[in-house]
Amino acid sequence: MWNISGKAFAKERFEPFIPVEVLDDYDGPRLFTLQDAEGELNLACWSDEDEQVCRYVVVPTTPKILASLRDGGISVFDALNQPRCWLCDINQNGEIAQCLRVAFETIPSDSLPAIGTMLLPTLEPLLTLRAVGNEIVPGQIPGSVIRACIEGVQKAFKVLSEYVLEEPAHAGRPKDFLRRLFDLPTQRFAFASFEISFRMPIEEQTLFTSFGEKSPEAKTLEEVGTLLKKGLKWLTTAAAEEGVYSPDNPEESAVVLRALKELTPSSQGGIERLELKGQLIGPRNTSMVLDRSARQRVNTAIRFRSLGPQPVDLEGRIRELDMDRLSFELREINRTPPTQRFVFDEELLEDVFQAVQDGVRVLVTGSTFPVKNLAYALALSRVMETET
Amino acid sequence: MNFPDSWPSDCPPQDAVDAEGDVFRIVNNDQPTADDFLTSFETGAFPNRLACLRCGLSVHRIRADAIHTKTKYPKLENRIAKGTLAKECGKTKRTGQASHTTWWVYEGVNRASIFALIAEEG
Repeated sequence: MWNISGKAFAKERFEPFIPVEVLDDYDGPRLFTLQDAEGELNLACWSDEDEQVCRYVVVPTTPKILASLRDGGISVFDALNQPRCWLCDINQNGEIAQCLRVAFETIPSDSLPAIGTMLLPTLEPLLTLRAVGNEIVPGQIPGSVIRACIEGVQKAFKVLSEYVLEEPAHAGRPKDFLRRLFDLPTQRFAFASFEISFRMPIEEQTLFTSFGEKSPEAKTLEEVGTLLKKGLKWLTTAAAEEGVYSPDNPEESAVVLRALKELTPSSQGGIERLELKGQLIGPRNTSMVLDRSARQRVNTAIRFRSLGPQPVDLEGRIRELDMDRLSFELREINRTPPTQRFVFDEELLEDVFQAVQDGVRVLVTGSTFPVKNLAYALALSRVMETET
Repeated sequence: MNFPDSWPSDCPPQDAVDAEGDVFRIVNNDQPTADDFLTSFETGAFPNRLACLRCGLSVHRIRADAIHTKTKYPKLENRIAKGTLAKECGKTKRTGQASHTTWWVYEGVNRASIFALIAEEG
């Protein structure tokens, strides 16, 4: 155990050191609430131990902090990071051997919960991204960094979900699920670096576990996760260094590479490194790190497979608008094939909706994925129709 | 197959069931040893804890939950071992959060021999 440098404190304040409510237990209470001599509520977290004592970090807390801890609004580290902090050593008789007032920042990081770790595994975000770069400093985070993190995830998710949802087994998903799937709720922001966590779009205990009955929504989400994990794993292989992606399923390769392109840091811009963790990519001891070389590997693989997006300018009428999935089919195109499916971002929805209402011909500008006759619509303009 | 006489009379609780299935435990050794499987009753830790819970060992039913516990308390042991329990191993009951399970071990069971270290990602 490490040596504490702190100010001795009257241990009577926390006697008897007995939990009021145990929030987490593993071979004994590890995280629990505790009342002090003044009847105030405190949070105690097991930090370390030797043969003589168990050491706890003790901080004042409130019902609001505890509620936020329980619902995943804050991590265990955040709940402990308070202006006042004590370290209490408890002996084998359950008595306080010593209690010291310390600054939270002086506690070794390996004696505290890892930053961002939630109270329960089920509260862990779907996906957390932490952007690292010289320009990313507290109070001065470029807007482009925030945009890249949010849009990168949204677009990667959209590409993978579109692919999964096209499978026959996934037809007829409820609309509210699709809405949440394509516009993932945010669980948490942290600005010390820039970190954003996306919340699960559904609540299901058996999600990402190997047992129990799964809802169709859970299966969809797990398949998206499987594709992403496959891609992220590929990035760490020798094949990725050569820029060669598995050729066994061309369509799957295309969507996975496209999603990876959205997630990896661009060679330009403020993000030098992205650290990923979350239930979507599975349990890990440390975050998965994507640096700029990862983008280069993805780009090489895309070029190798001739999967680079091609610009498309197509004229036709918008039909089959799916407002939940933000997709439509363009029909009556004057070339082969006569139809093309597009996905688009929220900001284009109003233009698309108007074009459907008016039934007019439009010019859609975008780029191909290219996969399953699918393209990304970037802009829309009306076409003047001449009477024949 | 008996539990130690030194345990409280109502321990394990009546709703504990025969041990069965895969479980995961945080251990400190590449080849799990007896030291990795001592209850807080045996080590003397957490004397204020409920007596019957002190007699049991914490395990998780889901590997990810064990990894999660390790990230919350980095100074816990640093490896994860998997074991497959059978009724001869004792009784279990879901206690606490997530897939946390308390395993009350019959006297004479070689706990470490049931477990083997598993590979971890990241």
